Amino acid sequence: MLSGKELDLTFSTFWRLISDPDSRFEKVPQLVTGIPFKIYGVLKPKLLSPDTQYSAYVVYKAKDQIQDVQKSFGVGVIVHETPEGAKWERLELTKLEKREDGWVEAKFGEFLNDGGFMDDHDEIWFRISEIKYSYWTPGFIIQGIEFRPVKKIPDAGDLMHATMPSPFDSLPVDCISTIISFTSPRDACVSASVSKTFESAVKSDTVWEKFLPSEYSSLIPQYSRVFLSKKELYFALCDDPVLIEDGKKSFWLEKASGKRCIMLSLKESSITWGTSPQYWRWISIPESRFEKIAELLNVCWFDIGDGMHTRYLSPRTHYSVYIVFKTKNGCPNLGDSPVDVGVGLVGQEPSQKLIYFIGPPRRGRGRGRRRETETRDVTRPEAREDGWMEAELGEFYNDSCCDDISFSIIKTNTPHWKSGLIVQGIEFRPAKIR
Amino acid sequence: MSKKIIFESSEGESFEVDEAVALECQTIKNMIEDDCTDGGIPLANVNSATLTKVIDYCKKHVEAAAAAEANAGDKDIYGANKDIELKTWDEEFVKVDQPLLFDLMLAANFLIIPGLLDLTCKTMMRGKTVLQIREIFHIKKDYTDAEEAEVRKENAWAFE
Repeated sequence: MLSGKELDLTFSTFWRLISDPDSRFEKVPQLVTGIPFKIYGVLKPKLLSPDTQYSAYVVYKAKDQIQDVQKSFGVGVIVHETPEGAKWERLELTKLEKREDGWVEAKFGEFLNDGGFMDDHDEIWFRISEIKYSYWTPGFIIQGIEFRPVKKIPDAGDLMHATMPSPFDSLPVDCISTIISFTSPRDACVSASVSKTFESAVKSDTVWEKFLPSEYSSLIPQYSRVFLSKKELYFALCDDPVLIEDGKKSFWLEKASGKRCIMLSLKESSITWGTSPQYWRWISIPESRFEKIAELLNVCWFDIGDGMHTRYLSPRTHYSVYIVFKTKNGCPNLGDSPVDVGVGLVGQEPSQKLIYFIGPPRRGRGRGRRRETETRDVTRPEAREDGWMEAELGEFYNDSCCDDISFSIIKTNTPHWKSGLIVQGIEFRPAKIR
Repeated sequence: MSKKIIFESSEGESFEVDEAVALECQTIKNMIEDDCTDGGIPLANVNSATLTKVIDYCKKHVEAAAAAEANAGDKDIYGANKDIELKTWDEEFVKVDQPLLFDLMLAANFLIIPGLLDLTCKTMMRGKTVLQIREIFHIKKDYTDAEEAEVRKENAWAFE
């Protein structure tokens, strides 16, 4: 039961909080003046059991119950917020019932808590609104909103559903594993919750062998541990990147899809002046995946450019390319001004855009200052979970894995000395589906 | 003037197809190579409705491959369009009821048609929620709520 205190009551000044000995909560709202009202509330679906049909009741008490019972609460509305948007269900108020605990309840809605979206951000919104605009008697108390599973009356359809054989019944578990192996790692992990047979099918090496990259056996020696299953190895390759190609590339898998991701370390030859220790130096820091990474000391001519063969990536996949970096001392003469970046398959026109390594302050103090309009077209960097920053250089489609992809990051149109940038590498990972 | 192969469905119905179309099935390809296809190939576990669909699929993909070959010289946007057209055709092809889709998958598995197996498995399972899978395939939930919550917790990332 969600406490009445937690609800958003319109005309809150007409309510006061009182203590009622019959209430489960310390304080409950009581109506002081007779008004028509609306009640809003929010509930986290993870507080309820998944895959369950719930009814929602408003639990209340009124001085003159007979009179208030005759009034209508109007229409209850439940909104189930999901990543795909809000699901609205409008339900007419059904009859009021006296409860064993002395309170009265009125059912105002029903919804399915499908449990597919159990993260912290999901919310169930509900609203109980007056349609008759009648005035309620002062003294009306709302204890709270109760959510409880709908009592199921099995109907003919349900019984048929339960007795109808599943086509999976006749399949051996390894056959189900084969079917699952054609889906995706995410689908496989979701389907483990379907039944015990599915769960054991999902554990099978048949499934995870298909999701692993073909050369996986050569990557195992990089881990100082033993893998008991292909599934375990798969998740290790998602969570702990491995170094390949003499430590020049870091490789891992995107968990949901099993697609290949690469972070490419910069070479001396990929940076103009990269071999001159007075301009760029090569440092070793513990938070980098690579042994040596580039730190910008001082240059006028900032120019990084290189490429990679697309065979390291998954075919038929849209990739995004990022520069992964940190700034030092505010990245003088570089951090706040737009930098030209480009990405493209060799032989094709590269995409062009602008990024910031830091960016000018947003709004506020900077308002009305020069080039304010320009900031809209420039990509700002974003913080990563690993403590580094990243800015997107562009996207491309890797069709057949037999091309070269090149990138460039250039700031040569200002004569000032630029410094204070540490580049870990260039990351290639599947583009977010928009 | 291509050689014909005769399939016989579980109902005993005969289907005559070009050898090139039959070669799409790895199982049949092996039989043809071993020269044991005279007098027809009985497919005791594939019914006529399913077999008709399987043959449609193989025909379309043989034609598409031939068309792609013909256009191999000019690998341009036109080639990409062909690809999209075949994909659209595939998507339409699997818009069938669930029992037929399941039979198609079993047939693809038995006849070894990797493309069709991939297509049917994906269509059946991809992007479905736990509830949808149970409902579509009449699978009874044999977990207790606590057990199910535990399995969901283990795979919590997949529900994000």
